[in-house]
Amino acid sequence: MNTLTETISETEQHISFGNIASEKLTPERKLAIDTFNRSGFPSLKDEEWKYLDLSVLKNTPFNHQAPACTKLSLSDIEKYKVAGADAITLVFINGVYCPELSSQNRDSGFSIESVESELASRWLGKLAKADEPFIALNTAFHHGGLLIHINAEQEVKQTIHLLHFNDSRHEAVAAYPRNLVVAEKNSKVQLIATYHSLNNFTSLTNSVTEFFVGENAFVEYDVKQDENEKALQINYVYAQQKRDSVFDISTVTIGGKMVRNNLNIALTETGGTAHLNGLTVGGKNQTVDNHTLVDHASPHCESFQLYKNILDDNAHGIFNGKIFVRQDAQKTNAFQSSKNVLLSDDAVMNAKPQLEIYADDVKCSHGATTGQLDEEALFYFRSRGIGKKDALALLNYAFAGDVIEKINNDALKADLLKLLAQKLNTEIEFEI
Amino acid sequence: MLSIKNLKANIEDKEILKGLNLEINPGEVHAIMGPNGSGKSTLASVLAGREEYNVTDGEVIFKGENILEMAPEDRARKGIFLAFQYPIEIPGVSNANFMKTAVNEVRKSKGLAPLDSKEFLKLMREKMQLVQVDKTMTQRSVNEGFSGGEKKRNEIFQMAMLEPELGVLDETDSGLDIDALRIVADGVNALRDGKRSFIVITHYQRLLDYIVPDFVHVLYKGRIVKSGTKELALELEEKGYDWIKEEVEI
Repeated sequence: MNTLTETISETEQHISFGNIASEKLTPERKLAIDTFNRSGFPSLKDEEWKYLDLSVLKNTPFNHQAPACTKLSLSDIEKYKVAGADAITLVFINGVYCPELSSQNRDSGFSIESVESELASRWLGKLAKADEPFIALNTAFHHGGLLIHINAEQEVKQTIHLLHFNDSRHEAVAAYPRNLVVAEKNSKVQLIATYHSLNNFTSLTNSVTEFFVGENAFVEYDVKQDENEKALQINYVYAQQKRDSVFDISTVTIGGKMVRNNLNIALTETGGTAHLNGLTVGGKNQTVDNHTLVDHASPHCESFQLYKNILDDNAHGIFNGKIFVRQDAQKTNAFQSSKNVLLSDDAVMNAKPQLEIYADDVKCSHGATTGQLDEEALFYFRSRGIGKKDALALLNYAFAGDVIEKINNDALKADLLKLLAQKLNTEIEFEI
Repeated sequence: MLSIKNLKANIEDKEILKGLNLEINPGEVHAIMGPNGSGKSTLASVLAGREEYNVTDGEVIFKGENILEMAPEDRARKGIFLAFQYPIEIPGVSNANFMKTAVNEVRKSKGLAPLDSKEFLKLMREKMQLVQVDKTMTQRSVNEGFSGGEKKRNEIFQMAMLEPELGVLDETDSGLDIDALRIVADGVNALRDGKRSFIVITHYQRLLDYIVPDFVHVLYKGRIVKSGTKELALELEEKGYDWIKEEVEI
């Protein structure tokens, strides 16, 4: 029997793999394994990975087929919900959808089914190609993810909350969430994804989410990454936008030892708009890497990127943002800004904006600034009686707050601001 | 209330204050004038505790304590307020939130309970009238996009909110037209209560028509070289600083 264990362990000796019955090995999974076997993990020599040290990930023996839904109860997950949000909660443990932990009553505007269903196969893997090593791994191992299908002309009134846990309490688990969101013509939906870890052991979450945004559809996707100091994450988000559609994504990274987010937006038809916002508040031993690619393939599209990092201790922030404007994409507006504050001498930021423009009638700009905290502003606060620590927190809070302000979901916004105040270690009562 | 004795201060090894003496009693308004580069703003910065300045000698006793070793926030909590010459813009922090934090930090240092939102709003509304600060100004980010006049009014508003015992106004009149100057001066005058003292640093006599000082001092080359009453300011306006320089050089 040709198990995944035998196949992949030939190339990566340190990783132990569980067993998957051979009948589950679809041609796509087999192909993904072959692809991974040829490439192996990315190395620091690879341009797209040159700032990210993957050695912990490579050297940890993960269980790739950990059992999932039975290990948590409804009361366990309650505190991870977003307070005050009118949300439909879909719970994923180790990448597997757990219906018994998820909301039972659902808005009528959408349906869910397995990402391995006949219907899902129309979209699955059409954007996320297995020639990327981590997409190959996800494609080989994912199981139990969802297709979230929003019907044409429907507005989903409630927020859809994808609540992800990696349960590595008893062993190191590699989870492979694989989800698909299809928003048909003239639909509107707001999704939240939050990532949490339950671990004593190192955990890996390697997720792939593909969005198909139909004509004049609106999709907002806000991601909160709040895992703990043993958690590793490699995420891929792909979005393909049709005519006059809007796709907004905000990624807020507070926790996790190493987080790599890959965001690929394709504006394939005229009139599309994309907003990409990112905030990282990194501290001790944290590495957070945001890679974005916005592909302007059609005229009259707009994209706006704002990525901010606040890095303390020996945190390492990476931003690599690429805007690609194809020859036909006239009248493109594409803007990108990366702003970073280093709070300690040991913190490091690598920012690499890239513009590739093949059209001649476009407005594009990018800018990256990395600096220390504004001493003059700090003195101003202190001269009004606000202590140094609180002044610092208030200034950082303000710096970070404008990314969070871009999120349209008020409950999530409040949740994130609270988390931010905690991370900045202040008791000051904040309002924006 | 404030006693400055033989104060010497450097910035980047250049001595700016070279033995400055000044005595201020409760309720007094002292104007400090002087040509450019005489050390006026340095004095304001040293009093507020700006870290770039290095005090090499002398003492500053405020309410019986030498403040030179104190952090800026502790000086503020003790009752010293600096109205900045160039107030900085701070995006993302609303004026109201900033003031609420500051007011409550000062209260905490005095062992007072923090104001809740309702009490704070009441206090703010009261003080807003003093310098014609409107609601939109309190809701905007601190000084962000403010005109020169709005920034200076905001400084006086903050002073009114924090109710210091000593207000140091560092060239608050610079860049103000006559109407803005009057609003700012009215705000300061409203805070004169017979106990609160002020140091009004200015290059021009004009401001002193509105904020009438008890004493006028001329700062030149890091020392106070001449002191008098408000008439001295008029004399300076008329004759400039050259005669003072000549007196000093002899």
